[in-house]
Amino acid sequence: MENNLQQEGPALEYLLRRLSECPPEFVISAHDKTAVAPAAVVSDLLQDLGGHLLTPGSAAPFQLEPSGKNRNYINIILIACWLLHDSWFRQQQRFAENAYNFLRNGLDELSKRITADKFIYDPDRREELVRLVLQALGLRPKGESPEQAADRLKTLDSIERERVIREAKKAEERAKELREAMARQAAIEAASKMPRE
Amino acid sequence: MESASENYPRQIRQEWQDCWPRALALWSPYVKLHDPSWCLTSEQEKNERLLASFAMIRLHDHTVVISIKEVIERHLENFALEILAHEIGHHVYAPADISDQARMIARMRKGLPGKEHLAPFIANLYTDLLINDRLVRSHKLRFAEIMQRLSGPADPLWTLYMRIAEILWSVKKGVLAKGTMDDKLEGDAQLGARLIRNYAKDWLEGSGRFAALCLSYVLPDEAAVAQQNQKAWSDMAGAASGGFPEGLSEMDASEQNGSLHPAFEETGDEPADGHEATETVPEESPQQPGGGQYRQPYEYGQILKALGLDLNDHEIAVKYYRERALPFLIPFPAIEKPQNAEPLREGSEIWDTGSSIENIDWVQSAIKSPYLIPGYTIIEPVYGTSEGSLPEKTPVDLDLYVDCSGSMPNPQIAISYLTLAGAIISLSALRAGSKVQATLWSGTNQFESTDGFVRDEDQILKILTGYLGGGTAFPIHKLRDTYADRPPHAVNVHILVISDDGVTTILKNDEKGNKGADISQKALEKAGAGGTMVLNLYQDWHKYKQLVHLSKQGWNIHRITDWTELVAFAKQFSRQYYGK
Repeated sequence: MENNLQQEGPALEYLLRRLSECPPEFVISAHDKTAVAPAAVVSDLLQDLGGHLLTPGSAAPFQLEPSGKNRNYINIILIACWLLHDSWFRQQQRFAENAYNFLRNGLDELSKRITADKFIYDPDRREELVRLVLQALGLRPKGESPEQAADRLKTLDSIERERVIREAKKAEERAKELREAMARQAAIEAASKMPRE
Repeated sequence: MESASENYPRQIRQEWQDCWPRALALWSPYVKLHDPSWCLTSEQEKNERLLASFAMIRLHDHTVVISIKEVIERHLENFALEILAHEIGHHVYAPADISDQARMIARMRKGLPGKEHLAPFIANLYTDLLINDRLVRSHKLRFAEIMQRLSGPADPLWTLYMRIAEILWSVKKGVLAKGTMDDKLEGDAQLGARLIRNYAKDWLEGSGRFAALCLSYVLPDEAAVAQQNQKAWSDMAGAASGGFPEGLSEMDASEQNGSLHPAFEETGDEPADGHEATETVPEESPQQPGGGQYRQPYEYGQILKALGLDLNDHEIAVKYYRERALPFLIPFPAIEKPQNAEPLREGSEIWDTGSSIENIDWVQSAIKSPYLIPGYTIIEPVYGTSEGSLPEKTPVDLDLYVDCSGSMPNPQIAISYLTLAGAIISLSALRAGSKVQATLWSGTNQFESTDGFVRDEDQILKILTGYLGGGTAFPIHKLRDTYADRPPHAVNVHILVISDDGVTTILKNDEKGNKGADISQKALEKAGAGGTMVLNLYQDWHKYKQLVHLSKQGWNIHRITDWTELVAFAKQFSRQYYGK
């Protein structure tokens, strides 16, 4: 992963602020009547990043009905689009392909685990999305070494985090069962030592 | 002339002193704390009871103590802002006061079954993380560097603690945390970091969960290495000394379930299919009392000891029952007498410590003896009254006999409703201006009593919270002696006996062969304000012929079937007999 982070991008704080200022229109709720076409948003973004408009074929992954499970996925795509539309990325005019790949393949797993608004309001999740975007573009935050950037992303990685927390939970369940068994045993032994009246 | 090296500690002290206002301002421009107490020598450290650590706080007098000597020895001279701001954080953020410190210990004890005694140590780790995280995030202070300098060898708990700090402050893995880091530890560290952030505003709520997180790491060897490492900055060791937490006998509403392991807590991250995401960061909840949930005296005592308070079990029990009695205090019953006119001095009597100091007649006392000794040579005037036309309320004294035989609970271990009822009624009596004689009784010659009728709250509660736990024999001689020579004009007394069917031993003969029934009858007559026996009985008291006999003497027999009913009885007691 460190090899992917050779170039310096913008400062982390700068992108975090941009993400926290994501307009509410980018998060569609169940009650929203207006239909947002994520494919159109992505297409405009790619053009602004120096790429081409989406073709019917390349737009297919983003032609989603905004209902049920799709809604969270669409919202995350839209939030990521807001982040990628920052002037720093647009000025470079070279990130369209990486951005497309990221939006197409990089958010599906996250959308199953994290609600979209967490990427705006939760500091850790906000930082995770910023770092994921930078990584997808082959960048690291300004002032960080590739090692630092890779380590921090691993720490924040929701999928990895979920895995280790699941391990911790399993271990705690085992330990709890063991403690309860020991407590029961101790109670039995204590009862057997009580003087008979 | 002083050499440069001798002057160095003073120079550092001055630098740190200059830094103090800046450290205060990091928390708020309105925070006011007096200057720290600086220790330049071992002697000064000893006087401040600063042991092993280079800094400590005292909550009751809002003091920060810094050992400049230790700071220099540990090469921490350049971290004045960090260390001072951290110590201020203990005063203004976590725990901020001794009551919250005690409540945190209580919650953590529930999260550390079998290792409850480690709660103060875990509490120090927890509050340090909370304070340091806030200071790192808000002011970018260099706590990671300090922790790196102070860190020693690692055990699993220390590794977890350091890994949590790494995650919180974006420090590369392994810079602070040494030792083995498997998936479980990494997962726990993630949970710990999330907990510190999620509960930053309601840290008391998160304290039990943090303890539960640490439990599996302290079970093997009590995290001896971590304890050793933490000693260098164990700034909370004597934090509670000199103070006392009020309201600790009652549990917080969320205390019972507040020690859930964070792995079993909903994260709120997961999207709900077809539904809107809901924010699950815990709401800030003021610590409401537990709605009638009280802790037992034993646990209450253990928490006080964990705070480092130097109290024995008996002193702890006194504080416990006083606190439990407070919500129930009512004006003690008073009987109406014709109002007196101008008070007339009729004579003098010996003044003792139970009486108010302004009652002392200093001139008469000095005439009697140049040596002023309470109970011997100090005099107080006795006033007579001439009866008027309007009624005046006169409180009656209370003669209280509490059964403490083997069938009764030890009030220092488990809640004793006999003691609690005794405390409620006695403290109500004192509040109304009455005097109380409290007697704890068990078998023959097994009794403890106050020095007659007194107004000394501590003395009364000390008797009530004692424990005899022997046989059952009512102290007939005590009842006899109390009323044998009582002058007719003495204040009326209500005799109250709290017991079970063992009270019938009052009808046995005393050591001189006098009949208990006669002693009981005379005592009741001389007391002048009636007598009550509140008894825990399996069946209707009319089926006990001895109780029927006592009832005919004038005793009011009040049956209860559960000791918890005594609390209601204590409230009802005055209303039934004396009203307003």
